[in-house]
Amino acid sequence: MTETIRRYMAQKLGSVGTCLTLLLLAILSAVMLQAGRNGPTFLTVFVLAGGLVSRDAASGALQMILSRPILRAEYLLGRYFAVLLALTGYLALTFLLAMGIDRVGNAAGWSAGSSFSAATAFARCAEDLPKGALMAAVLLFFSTFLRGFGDVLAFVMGSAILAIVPQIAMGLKQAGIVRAFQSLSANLSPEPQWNQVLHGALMQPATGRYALALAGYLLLATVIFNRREFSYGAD
Amino acid sequence: MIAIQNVSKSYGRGLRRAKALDGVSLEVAQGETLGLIGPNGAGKTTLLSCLLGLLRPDNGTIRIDGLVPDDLSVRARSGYMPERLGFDRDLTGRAFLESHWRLSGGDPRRTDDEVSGAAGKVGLDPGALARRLRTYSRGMLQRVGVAQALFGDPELLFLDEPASGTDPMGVAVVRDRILEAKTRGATIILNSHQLAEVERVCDRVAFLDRGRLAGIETLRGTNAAPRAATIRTDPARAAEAAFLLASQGFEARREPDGTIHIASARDEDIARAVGALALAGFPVFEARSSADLESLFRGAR
Repeated sequence: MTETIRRYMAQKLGSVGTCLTLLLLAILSAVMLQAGRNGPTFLTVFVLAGGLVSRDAASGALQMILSRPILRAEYLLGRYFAVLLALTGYLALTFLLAMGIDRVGNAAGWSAGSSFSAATAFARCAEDLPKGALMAAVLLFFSTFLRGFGDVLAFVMGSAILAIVPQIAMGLKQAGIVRAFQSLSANLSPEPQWNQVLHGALMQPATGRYALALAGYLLLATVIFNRREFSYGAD
Repeated sequence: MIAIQNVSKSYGRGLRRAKALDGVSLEVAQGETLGLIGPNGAGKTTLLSCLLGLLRPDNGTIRIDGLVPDDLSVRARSGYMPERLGFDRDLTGRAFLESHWRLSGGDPRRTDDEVSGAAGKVGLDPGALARRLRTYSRGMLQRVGVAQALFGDPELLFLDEPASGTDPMGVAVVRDRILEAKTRGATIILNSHQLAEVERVCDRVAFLDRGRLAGIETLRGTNAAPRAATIRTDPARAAEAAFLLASQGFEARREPDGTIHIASARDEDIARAVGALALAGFPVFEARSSADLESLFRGAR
Protein backbone atom coordinates (compact mmCIF):
# COMPACT_ATOMS: atom_id res chain seq x y z
CA MET A 1 0.00 0.00 0.00
CA THR A 2 2.92 2.32 0.76
CA GLU A 3 4.10 1.95 -2.81
CA THR A 4 0.64 2.79 -4.16
CA ILE A 5 0.61 5.97 -2.06
CA ARG A 6 4.14 6.86 -3.16
CA ARG A 7 3.22 6.27 -6.80
CA TYR A 8 0.11 8.49 -6.52
CA MET A 9 2.22 11.29 -5.05
CA ALA A 10 4.81 10.90 -7.80
CA GLN A 11 2.02 11.05 -10.42
CA LYS A 12 0.47 14.22 -8.97
CA LEU A 13 3.71 16.01 -8.13
CA GLY A 14 5.17 14.94 -11.48
CA SER A 15 2.49 16.87 -13.34
CA VAL A 16 3.26 20.59 -13.56
CA GLY A 17 -0.35 21.33 -14.55
CA THR A 18 -1.76 19.58 -11.47
CA CYS A 19 0.73 21.31 -9.15
CA LEU A 20 -0.10 24.74 -10.60
CA THR A 21 -3.85 24.09 -10.35
CA LEU A 22 -3.51 23.02 -6.72
CA LEU A 23 -1.37 26.06 -5.91
CA LEU A 24 -3.91 28.44 -7.49
CA LEU A 25 -6.74 26.73 -5.61
CA ALA A 26 -4.76 26.99 -2.36
CA ILE A 27 -4.19 30.73 -2.91
CA LEU A 28 -7.88 31.26 -3.70
CA SER A 29 -8.88 29.27 -0.62
CA ALA A 30 -6.45 31.23 1.55
CA VAL A 31 -7.93 34.52 0.34
CA MET A 32 -11.44 33.18 1.05
CA LEU A 33 -10.36 32.08 4.54
CA GLN A 34 -9.12 35.62 5.07
CA ALA A 35 -12.60 36.80 4.23
CA GLY A 36 -14.05 34.34 6.75
CA ARG A 37 -15.39 31.89 4.18
CA ASN A 38 -14.60 28.28 3.27
CA GLY A 39 -12.50 27.70 0.15
CA PRO A 40 -13.65 25.65 -2.87
CA THR A 41 -12.21 22.41 -1.45
CA PHE A 42 -14.61 20.35 -3.57
CA LEU A 43 -12.68 21.52 -6.65
CA THR A 44 -9.46 20.31 -5.06
CA VAL A 45 -11.03 16.92 -4.38
CA PHE A 46 -12.03 16.73 -8.05
CA VAL A 47 -8.41 17.43 -9.03
CA LEU A 48 -7.00 14.94 -6.52
CA ALA A 49 -9.55 12.13 -6.81
CA GLY A 50 -11.06 12.48 -10.31
CA GLY A 51 -10.39 9.42 -12.48
CA LEU A 52 -8.54 7.78 -9.60
CA VAL A 53 -8.79 4.25 -11.01
CA SER A 54 -10.20 4.78 -14.49
CA ARG A 55 -7.23 6.82 -15.71
CA ASP A 56 -4.77 4.17 -14.55
CA ALA A 57 -6.87 1.51 -16.28
CA ALA A 58 -7.01 3.52 -19.52
CA SER A 59 -3.25 4.14 -19.57
CA GLY A 60 -2.40 0.50 -18.93
CA ALA A 61 -0.57 1.31 -15.69
CA LEU A 62 -3.21 -0.53 -13.67
CA GLN A 63 -2.79 -3.76 -15.62
CA MET A 64 0.95 -3.67 -14.97
CA ILE A 65 0.42 -3.02 -11.27
CA LEU A 66 -2.16 -5.81 -10.97
CA SER A 67 0.33 -8.25 -12.51
CA ARG A 68 2.46 -7.63 -9.40
CA PRO A 69 1.95 -9.46 -6.09
CA ILE A 70 -0.40 -6.92 -4.52
CA LEU A 71 -4.08 -7.29 -3.64
CA ARG A 72 -6.57 -5.26 -5.60
CA ALA A 73 -7.96 -3.88 -2.33
CA GLU A 74 -4.44 -2.80 -1.41
CA TYR A 75 -4.14 -0.80 -4.62
CA LEU A 76 -7.58 0.74 -4.23
CA LEU A 77 -7.23 1.75 -0.59
CA GLY A 78 -3.68 2.94 -1.26
CA ARG A 79 -5.06 5.34 -3.87
CA TYR A 80 -7.74 6.51 -1.46
CA PHE A 81 -5.38 7.11 1.45
CA ALA A 82 -3.01 8.89 -0.93
CA VAL A 83 -5.83 11.31 -1.80
CA LEU A 84 -6.47 11.91 1.91
CA LEU A 85 -2.77 12.55 2.47
CA ALA A 86 -2.62 14.96 -0.47
CA LEU A 87 -5.79 16.70 0.71
CA THR A 88 -4.35 17.09 4.22
CA GLY A 89 -1.21 18.63 2.71
CA TYR A 90 -3.31 20.94 0.56
CA LEU A 91 -5.42 22.09 3.53
CA ALA A 92 -2.28 22.67 5.61
CA LEU A 93 -0.83 24.74 2.77
CA THR A 94 -4.07 26.72 2.51
CA PHE A 95 -4.01 27.45 6.24
CA LEU A 96 -0.35 28.49 6.14
CA LEU A 97 -0.99 30.71 3.12
CA ALA A 98 -3.93 32.35 4.91
CA MET A 99 -1.70 32.96 7.94
CA GLY A 100 1.04 34.34 5.69
CA ILE A 101 -1.35 36.69 3.93
CA ASP A 102 -2.59 37.89 7.34
CA ARG A 103 0.96 38.54 8.57
CA VAL A 104 1.96 40.39 5.41
CA GLY A 105 -1.31 42.34 5.50
CA ASN A 106 -0.72 43.32 9.11
CA ALA A 107 2.87 44.35 8.41
CA ALA A 108 1.83 46.39 5.39
CA GLY A 109 -1.16 47.87 7.17
CA TRP A 110 -3.72 46.45 4.69
CA SER A 111 -5.58 44.37 7.26
CA ALA A 112 -6.87 47.13 9.48
CA GLY A 113 -10.16 45.98 10.92
CA SER A 114 -9.77 42.46 9.55
CA SER A 115 -11.66 39.83 11.56
CA PHE A 116 -9.30 36.99 10.55
CA SER A 117 -8.75 34.45 13.27
CA ALA A 118 -6.16 31.70 12.99
CA ALA A 119 -8.26 29.38 15.15
CA THR A 120 -11.34 29.85 12.96
CA ALA A 121 -9.30 29.37 9.78
CA PHE A 122 -7.79 26.18 11.21
CA ALA A 123 -11.24 24.89 12.15
CA ARG A 124 -12.57 25.61 8.66
CA CYS A 125 -9.64 23.73 7.08
CA ALA A 126 -10.11 20.84 9.51
CA GLU A 127 -13.84 20.66 8.66
CA ASP A 128 -13.01 20.33 4.99
CA LEU A 129 -10.97 17.16 5.53
CA PRO A 130 -13.83 14.78 6.45
CA LYS A 131 -16.06 16.41 3.83
CA GLY A 132 -13.35 15.81 1.23
CA ALA A 133 -12.83 12.26 2.51
CA LEU A 134 -16.47 11.35 1.84
CA MET A 135 -16.42 13.04 -1.56
CA ALA A 136 -13.22 11.17 -2.49
CA ALA A 137 -14.84 7.87 -1.43
CA VAL A 138 -17.82 8.57 -3.71
CA LEU A 139 -15.50 9.43 -6.61
CA LEU A 140 -13.44 6.29 -5.95
CA PHE A 141 -16.62 4.19 -6.00
CA PHE A 142 -17.71 5.64 -9.37
CA SER A 143 -14.19 5.40 -10.74
CA THR A 144 -14.12 1.63 -10.29
CA PHE A 145 -16.69 1.15 -13.06
CA LEU A 146 -16.95 4.39 -15.05
CA ARG A 147 -14.46 5.45 -17.69
CA GLY A 148 -12.30 8.59 -17.75
CA PHE A 149 -13.74 11.39 -15.66
CA GLY A 150 -17.16 9.71 -15.61
CA ASP A 151 -16.81 9.60 -11.81
CA VAL A 152 -16.76 13.41 -11.59
CA LEU A 153 -19.73 13.66 -13.95
CA ALA A 154 -21.67 11.03 -11.96
CA PHE A 155 -20.90 12.84 -8.71
CA VAL A 156 -22.04 16.22 -10.07
CA MET A 157 -25.19 14.72 -11.59
CA GLY A 158 -25.99 12.74 -8.45
CA SER A 159 -25.54 15.81 -6.25
CA ALA A 160 -27.68 17.88 -8.62
CA ILE A 161 -30.47 15.29 -8.59
CA LEU A 162 -30.41 15.07 -4.79
CA ALA A 163 -30.61 18.87 -4.57
CA ILE A 164 -33.04 19.69 -7.38
CA VAL A 165 -35.67 16.92 -7.22
CA PRO A 166 -36.86 17.79 -3.66
CA GLN A 167 -37.19 21.45 -4.73
CA ILE A 168 -39.33 20.48 -7.70
CA ALA A 169 -41.34 18.05 -5.57
CA MET A 170 -41.88 20.79 -3.01
CA GLY A 171 -43.19 23.07 -5.74
CA LEU A 172 -45.55 20.29 -6.84
CA LYS A 173 -46.52 19.67 -3.19
CA GLN A 174 -45.33 16.04 -3.35
CA ALA A 175 -44.43 15.61 0.32
CA GLY A 176 -43.61 11.91 -0.08
CA ILE A 177 -40.98 12.55 -2.74
CA VAL A 178 -39.52 15.41 -0.71
CA ARG A 179 -39.19 13.15 2.36
CA ALA A 180 -37.74 10.29 0.30
CA PHE A 181 -35.07 12.51 -1.26
CA GLN A 182 -34.25 14.22 2.02
CA SER A 183 -33.75 10.80 3.58
CA LEU A 184 -31.71 9.67 0.60
CA SER A 185 -29.54 12.77 0.81
CA ALA A 186 -29.07 12.39 4.57
CA ASN A 187 -27.84 8.81 4.08
CA LEU A 188 -25.90 9.10 0.83
CA SER A 189 -24.35 12.45 1.54
CA PRO A 190 -24.54 13.01 5.32
CA GLU A 191 -23.30 16.34 6.64
CA PRO A 192 -22.49 16.22 10.34
CA GLN A 193 -21.90 19.52 12.15
CA TRP A 194 -18.14 19.24 11.92
CA ASN A 195 -17.51 22.32 14.03
CA GLN A 196 -19.40 20.59 16.88
CA VAL A 197 -17.62 17.28 16.21
CA LEU A 198 -14.30 19.10 16.44
CA HIS A 199 -15.37 20.37 19.84
CA GLY A 200 -16.08 16.85 21.06
CA ALA A 201 -19.74 16.33 20.11
CA LEU A 202 -19.01 13.14 18.19
CA MET A 203 -22.21 11.30 18.98
CA GLN A 204 -24.66 12.74 16.47
CA PRO A 205 -26.98 10.74 14.20
CA ALA A 206 -25.33 12.41 11.20
CA THR A 207 -21.87 11.28 12.34
CA GLY A 208 -23.06 7.69 12.41
CA ARG A 209 -24.60 8.05 8.96
CA TYR A 210 -21.35 9.60 7.76
CA ALA A 211 -19.28 6.67 9.04
CA LEU A 212 -21.70 4.18 7.48
CA ALA A 213 -21.73 6.01 4.14
CA LEU A 214 -17.93 6.26 4.03
CA ALA A 215 -17.48 2.58 4.87
CA GLY A 216 -20.24 1.66 2.41
CA TYR A 217 -18.68 3.52 -0.51
CA LEU A 218 -15.25 2.04 0.17
CA LEU A 219 -16.65 -1.47 0.60
CA LEU A 220 -18.71 -1.26 -2.59
CA ALA A 221 -15.74 0.14 -4.50
CA THR A 222 -13.59 -2.78 -3.30
CA VAL A 223 -16.21 -5.39 -4.20
CA ILE A 224 -16.75 -3.95 -7.69
CA PHE A 225 -13.02 -3.52 -8.29
CA ASN A 226 -12.31 -7.11 -7.22
CA ARG A 227 -14.86 -8.42 -9.70
CA ARG A 228 -13.81 -6.23 -12.62
CA GLU A 229 -11.83 -7.42 -15.60
CA PHE A 230 -9.22 -5.29 -17.29
CA SER A 231 -8.59 -6.04 -20.90
CA TYR A 232 -5.31 -5.10 -22.45
CA GLY A 233 -5.01 -4.35 -26.13
CA ALA A 234 -7.36 -5.66 -28.80
CA ASP A 235 -5.68 -8.88 -29.84
CA MET B 1 3.59 -25.98 -15.58
CA ILE B 2 0.93 -23.84 -17.22
CA ALA B 3 -2.25 -25.76 -18.03
CA ILE B 4 -4.87 -24.08 -20.18
CA GLN B 5 -7.97 -26.21 -20.59
CA ASN B 6 -10.79 -25.45 -22.98
CA VAL B 7 -10.63 -21.70 -22.35
CA SER B 8 -13.21 -19.48 -24.02
CA LYS B 9 -13.62 -15.75 -23.66
CA SER B 10 -16.05 -13.36 -25.33
CA TYR B 11 -16.33 -9.60 -25.35
CA GLY B 12 -19.49 -7.51 -25.65
CA ARG B 13 -23.12 -8.48 -25.24
CA GLY B 14 -26.05 -9.55 -27.39
CA LEU B 15 -25.50 -9.06 -31.11
CA ARG B 16 -22.15 -7.36 -30.51
CA ARG B 17 -20.78 -10.37 -28.63
CA ALA B 18 -17.53 -11.54 -30.19
CA LYS B 19 -15.53 -14.60 -29.27
CA ALA B 20 -11.89 -13.76 -28.58
CA LEU B 21 -10.96 -17.26 -27.44
CA ASP B 22 -12.80 -20.41 -28.38
CA GLY B 23 -11.94 -23.62 -26.53
CA VAL B 24 -8.19 -23.15 -26.34
CA SER B 25 -6.31 -26.00 -24.63
CA LEU B 26 -2.57 -25.90 -24.20
CA GLU B 27 0.14 -26.99 -21.79
CA VAL B 28 3.45 -25.25 -21.30
CA ALA B 29 6.13 -27.22 -19.49
CA GLN B 30 8.39 -25.69 -16.86
CA GLY B 31 11.38 -24.05 -18.54
CA GLU B 32 9.74 -24.06 -21.94
CA THR B 33 9.53 -21.03 -24.22
CA LEU B 34 6.27 -20.91 -26.12
CA GLY B 35 5.64 -18.48 -28.96
CA LEU B 36 2.11 -17.27 -29.62
CA ILE B 37 1.59 -16.22 -33.20
CA GLY B 38 -1.43 -15.42 -35.27
CA PRO B 39 -3.05 -12.57 -37.16
CA ASN B 40 -4.31 -9.42 -35.45
CA GLY B 41 -7.46 -10.17 -33.47
CA ALA B 42 -6.56 -13.86 -33.13
CA GLY B 43 -6.86 -13.73 -29.34
CA LYS B 44 -3.19 -13.72 -28.35
CA THR B 45 -3.36 -10.74 -25.98
CA THR B 46 -6.66 -12.00 -24.55
CA LEU B 47 -4.96 -15.30 -23.75
CA LEU B 48 -2.06 -13.46 -22.09
CA SER B 49 -4.54 -11.32 -20.11
CA CYS B 50 -6.28 -14.51 -18.92
CA LEU B 51 -2.91 -15.98 -17.94
CA LEU B 52 -2.24 -12.87 -15.85
CA GLY B 53 -5.64 -12.97 -14.18
CA LEU B 54 -6.63 -9.60 -15.65
CA LEU B 55 -9.45 -11.33 -17.55
CA ARG B 56 -11.46 -14.33 -16.37
CA PRO B 57 -12.33 -17.01 -18.89
CA ASP B 58 -16.06 -17.52 -19.58
CA ASN B 59 -15.39 -21.25 -19.73
CA GLY B 60 -12.47 -23.51 -19.04
CA THR B 61 -9.66 -23.28 -16.52
CA ILE B 62 -6.14 -21.95 -16.30
CA ARG B 63 -3.75 -23.28 -13.69
CA ILE B 64 -0.16 -22.26 -13.14
CA ASP B 65 1.61 -24.88 -11.06
CA GLY B 66 -1.85 -25.89 -9.87
CA LEU B 67 -2.81 -22.36 -8.80
CA VAL B 68 -5.17 -19.81 -10.32
CA PRO B 69 -3.38 -17.06 -12.31
CA ASP B 70 -4.20 -14.24 -9.90
CA ASP B 71 -2.82 -16.08 -6.89
CA LEU B 72 -0.31 -13.73 -5.26
CA SER B 73 2.37 -16.42 -5.09
CA VAL B 74 2.09 -16.86 -8.87
CA ARG B 75 2.33 -13.13 -9.43
CA ALA B 76 5.35 -12.93 -7.15
CA ARG B 77 7.14 -15.29 -9.55
CA SER B 78 5.94 -13.59 -12.74
CA GLY B 79 7.17 -10.85 -15.00
CA TYR B 80 4.92 -9.18 -17.53
CA MET B 81 5.55 -6.82 -20.35
CA PRO B 82 2.45 -5.42 -22.06
CA GLU B 83 2.17 -4.61 -25.73
CA ARG B 84 0.92 -1.06 -25.26
CA LEU B 85 3.21 1.07 -23.14
CA GLY B 86 1.14 4.14 -22.40
CA PHE B 87 1.77 4.08 -18.66
CA ASP B 88 2.78 6.66 -16.06
CA ARG B 89 4.12 9.11 -18.59
CA ASP B 90 4.77 11.82 -16.00
CA LEU B 91 7.22 9.57 -14.14
CA THR B 92 10.91 9.43 -14.95
CA GLY B 93 12.29 6.13 -16.20
CA ARG B 94 14.08 5.68 -12.87
CA ALA B 95 10.97 6.43 -10.77
CA PHE B 96 8.96 4.00 -12.88
CA LEU B 97 11.51 1.21 -12.49
CA GLU B 98 11.94 1.92 -8.76
CA SER B 99 8.20 1.67 -8.30
CA HIS B 100 8.05 -1.67 -10.13
CA TRP B 101 11.00 -3.03 -8.20
CA ARG B 102 9.19 -2.30 -4.94
CA LEU B 103 5.84 -3.55 -6.30
CA SER B 104 7.52 -6.82 -7.29
CA GLY B 105 8.40 -7.31 -3.64
CA GLY B 106 12.06 -6.39 -4.07
CA ASP B 107 14.20 -5.32 -1.13
CA PRO B 108 13.89 -1.50 -0.92
CA ARG B 109 17.54 -1.25 0.18
CA ARG B 110 18.65 -2.72 -3.15
CA THR B 111 16.42 -0.46 -5.27
CA ASP B 112 19.20 1.74 -6.69
CA ASP B 113 21.47 -1.17 -7.62
CA GLU B 114 18.67 -3.23 -9.13
CA VAL B 115 17.27 -0.35 -11.17
CA SER B 116 20.67 0.64 -12.51
CA GLY B 117 21.51 -2.99 -13.26
CA ALA B 118 18.21 -3.67 -15.04
CA ALA B 119 18.50 -0.47 -17.06
CA GLY B 120 22.06 -1.31 -18.04
CA LYS B 121 21.01 -4.77 -19.21
CA VAL B 122 18.56 -3.26 -21.71
CA GLY B 123 20.93 -0.50 -22.80
CA LEU B 124 19.35 2.46 -20.98
CA ASP B 125 21.95 4.89 -19.63
CA PRO B 126 21.52 6.97 -16.42
CA GLY B 127 20.79 10.07 -18.51
CA ALA B 128 17.82 8.34 -20.11
CA LEU B 129 16.58 7.15 -16.71
CA ALA B 130 16.43 10.75 -15.47
CA ARG B 131 14.05 11.72 -18.28
CA ARG B 132 10.28 11.44 -18.11
CA LEU B 133 8.68 8.51 -19.90
CA ARG B 134 6.68 10.92 -22.06
CA THR B 135 9.95 11.90 -23.78
CA TYR B 136 10.91 8.29 -24.55
CA SER B 137 10.80 6.86 -28.04
CA ARG B 138 8.82 3.67 -28.65
CA GLY B 139 12.03 1.67 -28.60
CA MET B 140 13.11 3.13 -25.26
CA LEU B 141 9.69 2.41 -23.76
CA GLN B 142 10.00 -1.19 -24.92
CA ARG B 143 13.39 -1.44 -23.24
CA VAL B 144 12.12 -0.01 -19.97
CA GLY B 145 9.17 -2.40 -20.23
CA VAL B 146 11.50 -5.38 -20.62
CA ALA B 147 13.66 -4.14 -17.72
CA GLN B 148 10.71 -4.05 -15.30
CA ALA B 149 9.46 -7.45 -16.47
CA LEU B 150 12.82 -9.05 -15.60
CA PHE B 151 13.00 -7.71 -12.04
CA GLY B 152 13.81 -10.45 -9.56
CA ASP B 153 14.60 -13.00 -12.29
CA PRO B 154 11.00 -14.24 -12.57
CA GLU B 155 10.27 -17.93 -13.14
CA LEU B 156 7.36 -17.02 -15.42
CA LEU B 157 7.66 -14.43 -18.14
CA PHE B 158 4.74 -13.13 -20.19
CA LEU B 159 5.96 -10.94 -23.01
CA ASP B 160 3.59 -9.22 -25.41
CA GLU B 161 5.40 -7.90 -28.49
CA PRO B 162 8.56 -7.07 -26.51
CA ALA B 163 10.62 -5.94 -29.48
CA SER B 164 7.90 -4.08 -31.34
CA GLY B 165 9.07 -0.68 -32.54
CA THR B 166 12.68 -1.17 -31.50
CA ASP B 167 15.75 -0.76 -33.72
CA PRO B 168 17.87 -3.81 -34.64
CA MET B 169 20.07 -3.25 -31.58
CA GLY B 170 16.95 -3.16 -29.40
CA VAL B 171 15.69 -6.37 -30.98
CA ALA B 172 19.02 -8.01 -30.18
CA VAL B 173 18.97 -6.72 -26.59
CA VAL B 174 15.45 -8.07 -26.04
CA ARG B 175 16.41 -11.40 -27.60
CA ASP B 176 19.50 -11.68 -25.38
CA ARG B 177 17.45 -11.00 -22.27
CA ILE B 178 14.89 -13.64 -23.26
CA LEU B 179 17.62 -16.18 -23.96
CA GLU B 180 19.21 -15.33 -20.61
CA ALA B 181 15.91 -15.97 -18.82
CA LYS B 182 15.49 -19.18 -20.80
CA THR B 183 18.97 -20.35 -19.80
CA ARG B 184 18.19 -19.94 -16.12
CA GLY B 185 15.06 -22.07 -16.59
CA ALA B 186 12.25 -19.52 -16.81
CA THR B 187 8.98 -20.51 -18.45
CA ILE B 188 8.29 -17.92 -21.13
CA ILE B 189 5.24 -17.11 -23.19
CA LEU B 190 6.11 -14.77 -26.02
CA ASN B 191 3.49 -13.11 -28.14
CA SER B 192 5.09 -11.63 -31.23
CA HIS B 193 4.60 -10.89 -34.89
CA GLN B 194 8.35 -11.04 -35.45
CA LEU B 195 8.47 -14.61 -36.70
CA ALA B 196 12.24 -14.72 -37.08
CA GLU B 197 12.67 -13.73 -33.42
CA VAL B 198 10.05 -16.25 -32.32
CA GLU B 199 11.93 -18.95 -34.18
CA ARG B 200 15.23 -17.97 -32.60
CA VAL B 201 14.05 -18.18 -28.99
CA CYS B 202 11.01 -20.46 -28.81
CA ASP B 203 10.86 -24.21 -28.25
CA ARG B 204 7.30 -24.43 -29.55
CA VAL B 205 4.95 -22.15 -31.39
CA ALA B 206 1.18 -22.03 -30.99
CA PHE B 207 -0.86 -20.63 -33.87
CA LEU B 208 -4.00 -18.83 -32.86
CA ASP B 209 -6.58 -17.91 -35.44
CA ARG B 210 -9.96 -16.32 -34.70
CA GLY B 211 -9.73 -17.43 -31.09
CA ARG B 212 -8.97 -21.05 -31.89
CA LEU B 213 -5.74 -22.96 -31.50
CA ALA B 214 -5.02 -23.72 -35.15
CA GLY B 215 -1.83 -25.68 -34.56
CA ILE B 216 1.29 -26.21 -32.50
CA GLU B 217 4.75 -26.65 -33.96
CA THR B 218 7.79 -27.94 -32.10
CA LEU B 219 10.90 -26.05 -33.15
CA ARG B 220 13.51 -27.70 -30.97
CA GLY B 221 14.30 -31.11 -29.57
CA THR B 222 13.75 -34.62 -30.86
CA ASN B 223 10.15 -33.95 -31.84
CA ALA B 224 11.03 -30.85 -33.84
CA ALA B 225 9.07 -30.41 -37.05
CA PRO B 226 11.02 -30.60 -40.35
CA ARG B 227 12.43 -27.25 -41.38
CA ALA B 228 13.03 -25.62 -44.73
CA ALA B 229 16.64 -25.34 -45.89
CA THR B 230 18.33 -22.91 -48.24
CA ILE B 231 21.64 -23.81 -49.86
CA ARG B 232 23.67 -21.25 -51.79
CA THR B 233 25.96 -22.66 -54.43
CA ASP B 234 27.31 -21.46 -57.79
CA PRO B 235 24.22 -19.77 -59.31
CA ALA B 236 25.27 -20.91 -62.81
CA ARG B 237 25.12 -24.55 -61.66
CA ALA B 238 22.19 -24.24 -59.26
CA ALA B 239 19.70 -26.00 -61.55
CA GLU B 240 22.10 -28.89 -61.97
CA ALA B 241 22.66 -29.07 -58.20
CA ALA B 242 18.89 -29.01 -57.55
CA PHE B 243 18.44 -31.87 -60.02
CA LEU B 244 21.13 -33.88 -58.24
CA LEU B 245 19.44 -33.38 -54.86
CA ALA B 246 16.01 -34.19 -56.28
CA SER B 247 17.43 -37.44 -57.72
CA GLN B 248 18.58 -38.32 -54.19
CA GLY B 249 15.07 -37.93 -52.79
CA PHE B 250 15.12 -34.31 -51.56
CA GLU B 251 12.22 -31.93 -52.29
CA ALA B 252 14.67 -29.51 -53.88
CA ARG B 253 14.02 -26.67 -56.29
CA ARG B 254 16.05 -23.82 -57.71
CA GLU B 255 14.89 -20.40 -56.54
CA PRO B 256 14.93 -17.32 -58.84
CA ASP B 257 17.83 -15.85 -56.80
CA GLY B 258 20.00 -18.85 -57.66
CA THR B 259 19.71 -20.61 -54.29
CA ILE B 260 18.33 -24.09 -53.74
CA HIS B 261 15.30 -24.51 -51.52
CA ILE B 262 14.72 -27.83 -49.77
CA ALA B 263 11.32 -28.20 -48.22
CA SER B 264 10.79 -30.24 -45.10
CA ALA B 265 14.30 -31.16 -44.08
CA ARG B 266 15.65 -32.29 -40.73
CA ASP B 267 19.13 -31.29 -39.59
CA GLU B 268 20.61 -34.63 -40.70
CA ASP B 269 18.97 -34.25 -44.16
CA ILE B 270 20.64 -30.85 -44.60
CA ALA B 271 24.01 -32.33 -43.67
CA ARG B 272 23.42 -35.16 -46.17
CA ALA B 273 22.48 -32.70 -48.93
CA VAL B 274 25.57 -30.56 -48.33
CA GLY B 275 27.72 -33.73 -48.38
CA ALA B 276 26.18 -34.90 -51.64
CA LEU B 277 26.81 -31.54 -53.30
CA ALA B 278 30.40 -31.41 -52.08
CA LEU B 279 31.04 -34.96 -53.31
CA ALA B 280 29.71 -34.02 -56.75
CA GLY B 281 32.02 -31.00 -56.86
CA PHE B 282 29.47 -28.24 -56.24
CA PRO B 283 30.80 -25.38 -54.13
CA VAL B 284 28.57 -24.77 -51.07
CA PHE B 285 28.82 -21.14 -49.96
CA GLU B 286 26.06 -21.18 -47.38
CA ALA B 287 23.53 -23.60 -45.89
CA ARG B 288 20.85 -22.51 -43.44
CA SER B 289 17.59 -23.87 -42.18
CA SER B 290 14.54 -22.19 -40.76
CA ALA B 291 11.21 -23.31 -39.43
CA ASP B 292 9.56 -21.20 -42.12
CA LEU B 293 6.94 -19.95 -39.71
CA GLU B 294 5.46 -17.74 -42.37
CA SER B 295 4.43 -20.81 -44.37
CA LEU B 296 3.13 -22.46 -41.22
CA PHE B 297 1.28 -19.22 -40.44
CA ARG B 298 -0.30 -19.22 -43.90
CA GLY B 299 -1.08 -22.91 -43.57
CA ALA B 300 -2.76 -22.33 -40.25
CA ARG B 301 -5.06 -19.78 -41.83
